[in-house]
Amino acid sequence: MNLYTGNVLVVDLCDGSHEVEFLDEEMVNKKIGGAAINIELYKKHEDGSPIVIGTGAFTATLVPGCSLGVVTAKSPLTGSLVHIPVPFYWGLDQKLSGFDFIVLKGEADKPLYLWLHDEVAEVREAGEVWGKDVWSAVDELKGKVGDELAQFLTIGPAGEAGSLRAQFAYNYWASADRWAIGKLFGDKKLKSVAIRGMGIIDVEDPEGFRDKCLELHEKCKGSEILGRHGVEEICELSGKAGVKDAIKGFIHRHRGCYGCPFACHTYVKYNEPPTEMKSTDVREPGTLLTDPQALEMMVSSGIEPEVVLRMVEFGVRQGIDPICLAEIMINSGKQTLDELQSVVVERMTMGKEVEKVPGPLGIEVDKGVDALPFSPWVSSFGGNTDLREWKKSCVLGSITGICPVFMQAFHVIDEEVISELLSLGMGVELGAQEILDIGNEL
Amino acid sequence: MSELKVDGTKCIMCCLCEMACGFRRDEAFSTLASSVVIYRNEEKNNYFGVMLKQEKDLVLGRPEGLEVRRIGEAMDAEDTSAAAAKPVLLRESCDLCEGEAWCARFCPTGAIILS
Repeated sequence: MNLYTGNVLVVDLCDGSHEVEFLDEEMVNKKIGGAAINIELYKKHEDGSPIVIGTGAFTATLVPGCSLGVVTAKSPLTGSLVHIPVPFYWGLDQKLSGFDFIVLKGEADKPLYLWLHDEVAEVREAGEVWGKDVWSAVDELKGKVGDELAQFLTIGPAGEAGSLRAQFAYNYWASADRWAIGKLFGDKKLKSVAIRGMGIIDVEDPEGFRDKCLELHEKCKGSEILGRHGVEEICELSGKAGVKDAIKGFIHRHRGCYGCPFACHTYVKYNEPPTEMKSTDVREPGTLLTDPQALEMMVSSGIEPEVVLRMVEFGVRQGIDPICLAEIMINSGKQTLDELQSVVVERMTMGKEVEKVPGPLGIEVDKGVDALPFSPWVSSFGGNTDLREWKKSCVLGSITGICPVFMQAFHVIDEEVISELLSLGMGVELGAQEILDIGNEL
Repeated sequence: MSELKVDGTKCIMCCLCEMACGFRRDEAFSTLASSVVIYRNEEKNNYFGVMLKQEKDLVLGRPEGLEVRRIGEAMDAEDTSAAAAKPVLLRESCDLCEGEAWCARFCPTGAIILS
């Protein structure tokens, strides 16, 4: 099967058993991938309240912005089925691990973690890392799996405690989980999923597909967005220039996700000078800023910038949704690091009173994509402020594995381009309207 | 004569160079055969850069600057990034893709250019 390895891993957490099913080629031809196939797998295993982690058709290829994995599960927060994009390197390693789709069903009676690699699935006990914060757990699990490049989805104390403010973290950083799927991990006693991919993915027309990808990258190089970097510039383009001013003295370096020309994440240092470019003995010099909305909320509250940045690290360690973290911080009226950390620990497992944040990157099934993200940054990027355009980026991205932020910012990929890439990459002929219809079914 | 110029300070860790090189060698998506590797073993402290295996040299595009080492020279045992480069030495050397230099063509930032 082109662009996929053809394997679906199904893990029953109740007894640790697992099996590999063949990915139904007919379903791929009809649904393309990502969230659209996740839903089919969710329905098939619904009795086990599954968490489904999928990849898109173009994940781990040379298509611009093709970093995404997609997590699909029923939100403990809203009761709705949600699709959450997982960018960075997760999708790359998942697909190259040999498991295009992963179904995690049932609940374990003791803490577990999964180690997935080379078409091998290992269900391991996680008693030694249960109770540890995300950073400590990932450090320890990296040692256990013996691979520095393994990728992790992990929960912290918030998820273990069943907090509706919990999220799963990606490696050491905050994820786009705004729906408390971290709590679902905790309910399943699933501390972490570790994955590493070193496989190979075939393509229908190697030369044609590569050339089309290069053509798209060349178009990106002409975009003014390419000169922009980091969460602070997303905030600035949203009319929130205060964020850039607040953190500029801490910025170390920007970085992007796999396959994306837009380095939208900002690494800040506060435990050593941000101008230090060498690898030093300071093993935890700072943190990666991944959430412009939460950062803007915290900075606008008047809390000292260094305290804000340290709290971002603290929040990820605890495994809390950054928006919830920001709301706890702001509502507490506290200003110092010690006070804020205390209040977060105290309140993170209390009742949920957080309102739904407009414009998260994921999709809530039945409710749809109901707001623009970071409004009005879409218009500031020269894009279309029509909500339908953003929805289209979200649904097309979630089935193809292309980041919706990239799609909206660069405007080089639409349903016509996807149609051409599917033909070149998979040998599947789907028209533009058919592709939109698949997306609109989400 | 054409050669690749590496500037690790421009790298954003997108790894397109690595995949483009692997794709050229395998005509499929895999990075195991690539002559260029993005060093990203030190994620927590955000230390990353470009490693390029040439016929006689290992080019290290570090964030603090460029370093070129003769292949076969002893490496500092305490230099973790140099130690991590050892698997790269097992790869085939860069042949500039017979002039196409796919890594440079896909690189969005100019961290690798063909000059």
